[in-house]
Order: sequence, then C-alpha cells, then structure tokens
Amino acid sequence: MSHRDDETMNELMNGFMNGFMNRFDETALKAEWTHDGHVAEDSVYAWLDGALDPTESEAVQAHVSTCTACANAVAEARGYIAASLRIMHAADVTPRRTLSQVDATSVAHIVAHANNVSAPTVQRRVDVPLTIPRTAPRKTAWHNSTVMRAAALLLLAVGVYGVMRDGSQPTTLRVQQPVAQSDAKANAESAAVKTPSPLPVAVNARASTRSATNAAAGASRSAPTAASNVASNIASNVASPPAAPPRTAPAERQGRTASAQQPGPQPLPRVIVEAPIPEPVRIPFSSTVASVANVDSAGQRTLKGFVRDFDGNPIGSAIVRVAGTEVQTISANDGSFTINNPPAGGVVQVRRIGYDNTELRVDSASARPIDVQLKRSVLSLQTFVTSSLSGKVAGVPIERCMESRLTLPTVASSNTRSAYEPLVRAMRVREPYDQKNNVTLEGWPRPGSNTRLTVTEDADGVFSGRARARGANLDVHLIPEGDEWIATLREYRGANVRSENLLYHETSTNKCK
Amino acid sequence: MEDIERLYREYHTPIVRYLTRQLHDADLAEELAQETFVRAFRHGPVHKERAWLFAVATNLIRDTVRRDMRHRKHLEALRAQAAAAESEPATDDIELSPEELRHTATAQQALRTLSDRDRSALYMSQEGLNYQEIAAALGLSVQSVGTTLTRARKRVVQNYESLSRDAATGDAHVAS
Repeated sequence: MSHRDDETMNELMNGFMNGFMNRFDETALKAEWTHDGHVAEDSVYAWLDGALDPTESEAVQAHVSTCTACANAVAEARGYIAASLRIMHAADVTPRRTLSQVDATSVAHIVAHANNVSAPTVQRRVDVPLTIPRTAPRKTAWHNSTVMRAAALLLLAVGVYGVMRDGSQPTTLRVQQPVAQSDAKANAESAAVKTPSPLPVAVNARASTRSATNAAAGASRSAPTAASNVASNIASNVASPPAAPPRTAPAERQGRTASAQQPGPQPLPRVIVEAPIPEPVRIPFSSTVASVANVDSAGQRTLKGFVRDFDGNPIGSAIVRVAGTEVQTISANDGSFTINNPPAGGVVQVRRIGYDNTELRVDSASARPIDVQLKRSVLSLQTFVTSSLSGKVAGVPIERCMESRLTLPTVASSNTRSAYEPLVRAMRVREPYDQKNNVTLEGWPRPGSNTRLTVTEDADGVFSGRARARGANLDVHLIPEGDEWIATLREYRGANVRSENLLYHETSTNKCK
Repeated sequence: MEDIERLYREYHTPIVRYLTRQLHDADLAEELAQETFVRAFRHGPVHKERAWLFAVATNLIRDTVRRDMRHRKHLEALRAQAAAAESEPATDDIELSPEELRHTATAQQALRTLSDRDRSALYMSQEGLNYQEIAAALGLSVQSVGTTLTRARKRVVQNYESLSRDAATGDAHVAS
C-alpha cells in the first residue's frame, strides 16, 4: 500500500529503501564452525556460492580436503544446489510464452513515461465499481496441502481450463477517457491544473558533473565549474517545457492491461477525481543564506557549497536544484556541488533519500561557499515476513507510516465553501504488512473531525473496514493499485447512502512517532 | 542520459526474468520492469545498482501479488493444460510434451511452497547477485542470506520430490 508523487517520489519510496544505502553491508562472510571442528552447514553452502572471505574460504577448503564427513556434506550441498537450479530452469515456462530474451525497448520510452507521469494534468478516469470475489482461502492458505488437494481435484473435474491470460478475473477496470464530462467538479479541478514540468535535462549535468569530478583527481575548482556550465547551457537550450506530453505509453499499457483482462460487467461508470499533484512538502529548517561565489569574467555567478549531515559527514548523491527551474546538479562524494547562475533571491532545494528536504535562499552577499546540513528523516521500519508453510512469523518487523491525502483545488477565500467536499479528505495509515491496519480518516464524519478504524485484508489484497460515528457509518474499501490508492467509500447516514470512489496520493511517509 | 541507458542495457533483461519467474505473467513482468527503471531514472545514481533494482522490483512484486490471485490460477491452468494435453494432441502453443509440462507445473508448485523471501533470495542468486546484494535487497543480514538460501534450496528440492512422487496419485503432499 504505497503512493508516489513526482519529484518526492523516490525519496518517499518504500520506507525500506530509505535505509538502503546505509544498510549495505560490505563485510565479507566468515565461516562458521561446529563445536567439534566441522564446517557448519550454512557455511558449506556459502563456500560453494563463493560468498566467503578469501582467507575463510581457504580454511574451509583445507579442512574439507582432509575431513570425510565434511566432504560428504559438500557433496550433498552440491547436489541440492544443482537440483534447485534444475528445478528453477524447469519452472521457466510461462503459458503461451517461454521465458525468452526481451526486445530492447527504447530508453526514451522510459524517460517519456517518467516525464508524463510528472506532468500534472488532470486525468479523468472512469472506474468500474469493483466486484470483490469472496473466495475462502487466504493467500497463505493456498500453500497448504488441503488447498492443493482441492485444486488437483478441481483440475480433474474441469476440462480444458484455458490459460491464465484468458482467465476471467474480476478486477477494477480502468479506462482512460478524454476529458469529456462536464461537472462542477471537473471545472474546479481543471482550474487547478499546473503547467507540465519540463524535461529533466539535468541527467546530462549529473553525468558530466560526475565524470568531471572523477577526471580532476585533485578536485580542482575549474572542473566542477566546467561541468556545471554544461549543465546550465543545456538547461538554457531547453527553450520552453514541452506542451502536454502525449500519454501514449501509459495509455498503451493501460489498454493492454484492459484487454488482457476480461471486460466483465459494464455498470454505470463512476467518475474518479484525480487530484492535481500537490506541491512538494517544504521543510525548511535551515535558514542558511547561500552565498554566491566567484563572478567570473563573463559575469557568470556560481554557487558552490557542501552538503553534510549534522555530524559533519559529507553527503554525496544529493540532488541540489534551483527551485522552479530545471537546473540541478548532484553533490560529489565529498559533498561538494556547484551551480551556475543561481537566480538572486531564488531558492535552492537539496534532496537526498533518507534525509529531510532542505531549502536555501540565494543571496548575492558574500563569497563564501555554503554549507548545507541535512537532517536524517525519521522513519521506523517494521515488516512481517510470513513463512508460508509453517505459518510462523520470521524476520525483522517493518512498519511503514504514511499519510495519504486527497488534495482539492484551493478555494479563493475561507468564506467560500468548496464546491465539492469529499467524504474523506485524507487518510493516515499505519501499516505493518500483516492482516490488520489502522487507518485514521480525516474529515469524516464532518470536516475537521478524525475517525479511526481498522481495516483487514482479504484474499485479494483489498482492505476493508467500517468506521462508526454518531448517526453515520462508513464502509471503506481500499485497494493499493500499484502506487496509488483507490478508495471506495460508502456512507450510511439515516436513510441516505452516499458512495464515492476516490483516488489518493501519498504525500508523506514521515509521520511515524 | 547515458546512465539510464547503461542501466537499462545491463539490467533490464535480468529484471524482467526475475519478475516473470515470480509473477508468471510476462506482460505484468514487463510493466513492473518499466516501473522499476522509471524509478531508477527519477532517483538518480545509486551505488549498488543491481541490488537496488532488485529491491525495487521485489517491492513492486509484493505490492502486486498481495491482491492478485493470478499465480494460483496460473498454476491451476498449467496443470489443467498438462492434464488436457494428455488426452488431446498437443497444442502448438508450447512445444513441450505433457511430461515436460508436468515437470514444469511441479517445479513451479515446489517453488511456490517457499516463502516469498526465500523464493526471492533464490531467484536473485540465480541472477548472479552476491550475498551482500541479496542482503541489501531483501533487508537481511549477510549472515542470514546463507541460511535463507540453504533452507530454500533444500526445501524446494525435497518438496519437488514429494510432489513428483504424489503427482501420479492425484494427491499433493507438501513437506515442511
């Protein structure tokens, strides 16, 4: 259950990823020995996999060559490794298509998709209300023998079943339609559409900055400057942002997905309001004034500085960007960065996964390089990995806290009532990956109130729950749809029933206490 | 832009393979592979690229599979096809004998008996990720990668053998 948003997307990815870089453990594996001097089983496998530290590996080798018991263990391990590889190869057949080489798709396709998704045009989507099949067995249960036996019997009873591609699976069918419907809502939404963001040309800048920094071993001042010159040149060559990038790629994919699934019933389409992409969260805690250093002979200003954490350690791979432009660069491993021609009085944003976003104001006062300090973002991680056979809980618990907000167009003044008030304005989800999740609804039963409920997951991965308040009940169905939420809400208030399908975007994951 | 091209060249095929093996749906696998690279493009440079990409792909799988009964249906379909193929002339869709189809179905079933984490670790090692990369991708310690792989291999082999033995009788007995 996770959401994305365009620029802050990757920083707010799975909470797991936030700690990824810091968790990467380079230490080589040591061999483990039993108390009577033999190689432990896990280490035999690790040795065969080549995962042991070289000295350890030699020690194991030396022992195995003289110890019959361990030599047998090695032979057995080899057998298992080979057999499991054979099994995996045997499994490499998908109905109607064998696992073959994939055609090279153009990289531009990816970039186009990345750009399209970040273009915050309002999408109207027509959503078919879900049919949620109430099948008894849970996902974990399907591994146990009863279900398999049942499945086997089912197979014998049923004739040619047909390949899964034709399998009818009631799911949400999402069809993108052009903005044809006229609504009060529609007009309100389109008024808030922002201009598409320009192509992130900075990729070139990034590459050239990096290579320049690498080339200049002594990290001389000129090299980064040259690279940033390239960056700003490229940036200035992009005359204007491309107008409404055609959404052919995602549409194709949607169409393909749609056709791959059985159309199913065609009930009344409900309009989904997809909110305009909200502004990235601003957490300016550093009020450092950035200095503009070095005005060179061409009158060009450069902004130099360092990105560090609060302990003074340099932070590399931080994205340093001039707000509102496509000028950005990446800090080097020593934390240094250079930006060309920063606008006076402009704002520089510094982002790095695992840290809070930081902003600085550019001032043309002094010539000292600036020091940007990033604060580590607080995120607690807990997840449960269920062993499917034994049903035991194994592994480190991970919990992700996130807030999903439905952003509405801003109203002109606080006196004006919004033309449309959704049933629920925002949801906060505390999310361990087990069966129950706590959700806080904001704005239900009335604006300004908060209601809590628990949702449980069914076999199809749909989370359901019911919120209760005085005089009203709310049935909630939540479906994580890739990186979005589809919420089907049904409110019972006296004799009135009100239904809505709403699409939520994640805006923040830093809400865990 | 050279960076994303290189990433794509080096890792797209293994990522698609990894996804296809887990999802048993080539179309979905390609979709998620695209999504993985889109995120890589947006995220910017990462030190441990392969581990990062596989971690992203694994997370995408988890989000997808949670609401998806496709793999179960797929397995049923595969076995049904095997059963059907024995009573009819083989279709031209897959150039596999009924025997091979049964092997495939059993193999996939055996893999399905593993936990998600064990299976992912196995697939990653098949794609050549080392222990450190697998550890980072799955959020384990390097030590426990060894334990995980050992357990996964033994289990899949033992379960495969049980399933093959019992397949003839139309019964399925899974060893834990």
